Amino acid sequence: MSTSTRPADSPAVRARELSVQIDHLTLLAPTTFTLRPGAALVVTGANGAGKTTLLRVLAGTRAPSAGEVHVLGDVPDERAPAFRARVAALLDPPPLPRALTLAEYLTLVATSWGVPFDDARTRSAELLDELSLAPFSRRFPHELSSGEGRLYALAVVLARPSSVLILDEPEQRLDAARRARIADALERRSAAGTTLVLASHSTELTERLGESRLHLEGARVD
Amino acid sequence: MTERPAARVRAVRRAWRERTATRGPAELAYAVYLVVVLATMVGVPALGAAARALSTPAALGSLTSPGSPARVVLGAGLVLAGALWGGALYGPVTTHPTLVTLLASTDVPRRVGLRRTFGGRATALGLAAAGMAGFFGTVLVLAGAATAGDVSLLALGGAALGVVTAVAWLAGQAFARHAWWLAAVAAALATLAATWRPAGGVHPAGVLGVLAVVVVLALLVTPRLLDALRGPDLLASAVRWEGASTTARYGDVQGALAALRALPRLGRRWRAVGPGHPVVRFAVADLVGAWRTPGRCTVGVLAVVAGAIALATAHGPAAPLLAGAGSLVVFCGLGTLCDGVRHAVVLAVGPTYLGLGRWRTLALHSVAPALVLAGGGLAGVAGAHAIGGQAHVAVPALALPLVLAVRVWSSAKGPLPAALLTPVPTPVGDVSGVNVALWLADAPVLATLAGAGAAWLVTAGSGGPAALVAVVGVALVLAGVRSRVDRL
Repeated sequence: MSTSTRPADSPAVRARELSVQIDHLTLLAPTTFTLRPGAALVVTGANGAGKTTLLRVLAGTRAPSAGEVHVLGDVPDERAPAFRARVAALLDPPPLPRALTLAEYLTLVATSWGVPFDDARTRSAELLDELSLAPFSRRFPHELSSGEGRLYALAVVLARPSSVLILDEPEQRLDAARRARIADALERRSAAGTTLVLASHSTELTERLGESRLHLEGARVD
Repeated sequence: MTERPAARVRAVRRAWRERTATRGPAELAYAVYLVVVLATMVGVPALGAAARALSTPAALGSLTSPGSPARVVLGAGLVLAGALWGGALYGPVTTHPTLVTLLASTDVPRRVGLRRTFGGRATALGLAAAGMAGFFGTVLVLAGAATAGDVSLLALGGAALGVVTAVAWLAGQAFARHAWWLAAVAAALATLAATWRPAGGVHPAGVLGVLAVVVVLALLVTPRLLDALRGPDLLASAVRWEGASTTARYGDVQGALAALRALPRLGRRWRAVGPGHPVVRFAVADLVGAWRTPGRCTVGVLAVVAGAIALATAHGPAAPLLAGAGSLVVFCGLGTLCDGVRHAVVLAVGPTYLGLGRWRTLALHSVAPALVLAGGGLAGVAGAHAIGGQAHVAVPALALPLVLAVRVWSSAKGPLPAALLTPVPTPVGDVSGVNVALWLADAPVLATLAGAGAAWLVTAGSGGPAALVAVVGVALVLAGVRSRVDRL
């Protein structure tokens, strides 16, 4: 899927003095970090510290005000097809078709990335099982609870291939057992070589996935 | 807690009125003034025009023909069926969420707490139906085809039908999960009743007697229906409509309609996503998905066919009018089959989930409505042949692709531009509302023009230029789609 000709040892994500401001309000204070391919970075910080802003910049949906950022060697830009092919993000709840069941839509997502239909259907079932959603495979999205909906949103993102996975607080509204499930799922992706960047308030996720940690300070008015 | 339930409900309503009353005496007087002015300037001329249209020999002949009672019975039955079905979407006991909580969540029986809300709607419906029947009666009296006594009987009958319709509406709300079947049964019974020819004819007094019995039965069952209303359903409906009306007030009609769209509850075992070429896969997924809300889908398909019949039968001087109305009906019906198109537009913004690219995704989701449009167009032409023996294939062939393009363009509309809310002061006041209305109505107006224009050109014998105009029109609208999606 990758079209990059980067050296094998070049970082997957590199940010230098990256910051975002609106008028005189700093949404993201200057931030510098480097992440190697296949590594996992957990971004922590209080509400308003800039975690979501940082993830939006990395996902290419928001331009930085200053500094430099590269993801897989490219400046993040969600308008670029090659970038979209390699970077998956869960920042807001994804749009879901109201009339397709959970399993059907995951299958459709996978086939849209070129996965053969039978494989897509198998993967869809495995993904639902991995996230404890198998009993709900024939439900429609509006029939899920808020926690189940959050898990399904994660499933939609995991149904597509990616080299970098950007997640904003995937543990929201989940109980301890479900948090452990998503930690397991993300560890498997990381072990398979996917680079992870996630913002989280969960101690459990931070301890299990946070081989690298980035703590952001709060927003300020300059 | 010692007061009687009715007194408690009155106290709640009084407190609610005092809390929510925002109009002072001056504003109330202005509102009355507006109503009087509108009634004088719009209502009276419209009624006069309608009366003149009904006073033509052909119309009078139709109203007084032997087949007229059967048509009235069929029409009334279909209205009752529509009320039953409509109750599931918007029932007569739909009010502000807070008022629902105050009136329906305490130990006060719902027949007491909600009867005034229902009574208001039933009274309004009864008065409106009586007024309409009285209007038809007055036209007949002025034409010398009926007496003043007949008008009174007609008005009474109309009022009775209005009240029964309100109770059917309430039944649809109380039994929302079965409203579809109840409506189908009512429509079937109406069709049967319309074909019944009693020996010796029908006496008006007999009809009124039957109506009176039906009204009494309906009123007797009303308290039970009010008690049968489910609290969570009442609250969900109130929240949905309150949210939709707020969204619509701010110009986001798409958002408002999305809040009201029926949610699927059946067909979860149907195979919506299967193997094959993406064109087939997406078309099947969208068609199966649409059929998972069968009532909505059926109405949409029927509207497409009905509109296509109007397009195909449009000929003569009134052809643009009929074709314009037909293409507008097709546009509205097609909306029920464009969930996939709307989904593709939403997917075009933000992180990527599907791996097809935004334009390919949009194109693939447009296949299902295109197929329905093609099928509906053919059915419309066949229906036009069956009805009148004369059908113009050219008008639907030219108009329908443009209607589909406009539908896709409309789905990519996005929120109301804030600039349109800028006040536009004129000697008659702020007319910024006109800008907003034009922005909101652009797609229905374009769809109407597509049909009217095609009929006008075909009637004028300009088939070649008409085809060119249609192709250019589709290309322009698709360019508009691209521009809109890029700006989202």
